[in-house]
Amino acid sequence: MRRRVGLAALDRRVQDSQTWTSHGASLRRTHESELTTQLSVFQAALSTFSTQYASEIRQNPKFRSEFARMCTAIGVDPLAASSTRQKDKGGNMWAELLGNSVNDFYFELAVKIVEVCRETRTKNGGLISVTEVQETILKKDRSTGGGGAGLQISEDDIIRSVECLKPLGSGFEMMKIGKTMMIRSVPKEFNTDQAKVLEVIQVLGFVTIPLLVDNLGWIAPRAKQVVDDLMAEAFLWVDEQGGETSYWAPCSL
Amino acid sequence: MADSKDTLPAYYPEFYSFPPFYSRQPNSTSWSSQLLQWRSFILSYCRAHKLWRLNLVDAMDTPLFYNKSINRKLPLPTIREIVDDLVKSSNAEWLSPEKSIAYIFWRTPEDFANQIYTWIDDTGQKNTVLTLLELTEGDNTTDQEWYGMDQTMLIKCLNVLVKKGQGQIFSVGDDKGIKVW
Repeated sequence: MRRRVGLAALDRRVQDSQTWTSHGASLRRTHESELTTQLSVFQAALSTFSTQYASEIRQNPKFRSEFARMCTAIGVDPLAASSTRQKDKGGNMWAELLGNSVNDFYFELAVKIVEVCRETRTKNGGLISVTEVQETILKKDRSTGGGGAGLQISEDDIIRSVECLKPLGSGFEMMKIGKTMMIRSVPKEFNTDQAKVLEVIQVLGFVTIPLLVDNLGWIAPRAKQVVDDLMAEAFLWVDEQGGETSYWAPCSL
Repeated sequence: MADSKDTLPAYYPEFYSFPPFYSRQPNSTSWSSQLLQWRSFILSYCRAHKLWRLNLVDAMDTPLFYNKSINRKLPLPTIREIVDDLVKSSNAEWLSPEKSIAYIFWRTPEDFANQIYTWIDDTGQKNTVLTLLELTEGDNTTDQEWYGMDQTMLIKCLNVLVKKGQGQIFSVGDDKGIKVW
C-alpha cells in the first residue's frame, strides 16, 4: 500500500478500524445466529427424543442409563442442571428440554431412597448397601401394586438419584466399601481406618481384634479404638457367643 | 444365610441368622432396634404356635431363642429384659415375681376383649351366658384368634369388658361363664 502523508492518513486509519469493527461484529452475529439455530435444533432434537422415549426412559433401566451416559458425554448433565435454576426462565433448562421425565424419575426415586434410609437407620446406623435399597424399593413397589408393569430400577439409577440429593446438603453420600457401593445417610465421614474395617467385614462377614491386628498390622489398641468408634455410631453390632468377640455390620446382612 | 432365610416362615426377622442378634447390644440405638425386632418376633412366634404361656428357661432351647444353624442362643437375662418391655405395653404379664413364666398377649387384653365382644354381638349371643370353655374350646370359635386361650388369660381379657360395664362373669358349675350386653 502506498504510504499516504498528511492529515488524510489519520482519517483513513479511523475508517479502517471502523470497517474491521463492523465486519467483526457482523461475523459474530452470523456465528451467534448459527449457533443459536444449531442449539435450538439440538434442543428440539433432544426434547423430541426424550419425549418420544419418555416411557422407555422411565421403564427401561438399561436405556435410561445409556441415555444418562449420552447426556454426560455431550456435556449435558440432566441431574446437575436440575439444581441450577435459571432465573429468567423460572424453571430449570433441562427439565424443560427433557419434558421432565428424566428429572422426575430420579427425583421420585430419590424420595424413595430417603425413605428406605430413614426407616433402616436405627438398624444399620445409616449405612446401607445400594443392593439392599434396590431390593427394598422393589419389594415395596410390588406390595403396593406398583405401576402395573412394575418398577424397574438399576443400581446405576440409585447412584444417580443419590447424586441429585447433593444440593440439599442432607448428608446423603455414595461410598465404596470394598467392592460394594453403599449409601451413607448420616453426616459422618469415615476415616481410612474405619473404612478399612468395614471393607474387611464386606469380605469376611465380621472382624475380631486379633484378626485386624494380624492382617492389617495394627496394634490392638488401635483396632479396638476403630471398632469402638464404629460401635458407638451403631454401624457395628457385637457378637459375644462365638468364642472370640466379633463385630458384624448390619448393613452387610 | 440366604438359604435359611428362604425356608423360614415370614415372621422370622431378617436378623434371625445374624449372630450379634443374640448378644445384647451395648449401644442404645442398636439395642432399641434389636429390642423392637425381638418383641415383634416373640409375639408373632407365639401367635403362629398358639403359645399363651412362655416358660423362659424352656423357651431358651426352642427355635424362638435358639438358632441351631448358627449356634447362637439369646441369654436368659436378655430374654427377661425383652419380656419386661412387653409387660410395659400390656403384651405380656409375669405369672409370679420370679419372672420365670409369662403370659404372652400377642394382642393386648383390650384387643382380645373387643374381638370377643364383637364376635358375641355378631353371633347374636348377647344376654346369654357363655361358658369360658365354650369360648376357648367350643366348635363355633375354632377360627377365632382366642381359640385355645389359657383360661387365666381369658378371664383377664373378659375383665376388661366387666370393667367397662359391658358384661358380668358368673360361676357355672365348675366352670365360669360370661354374659355381655
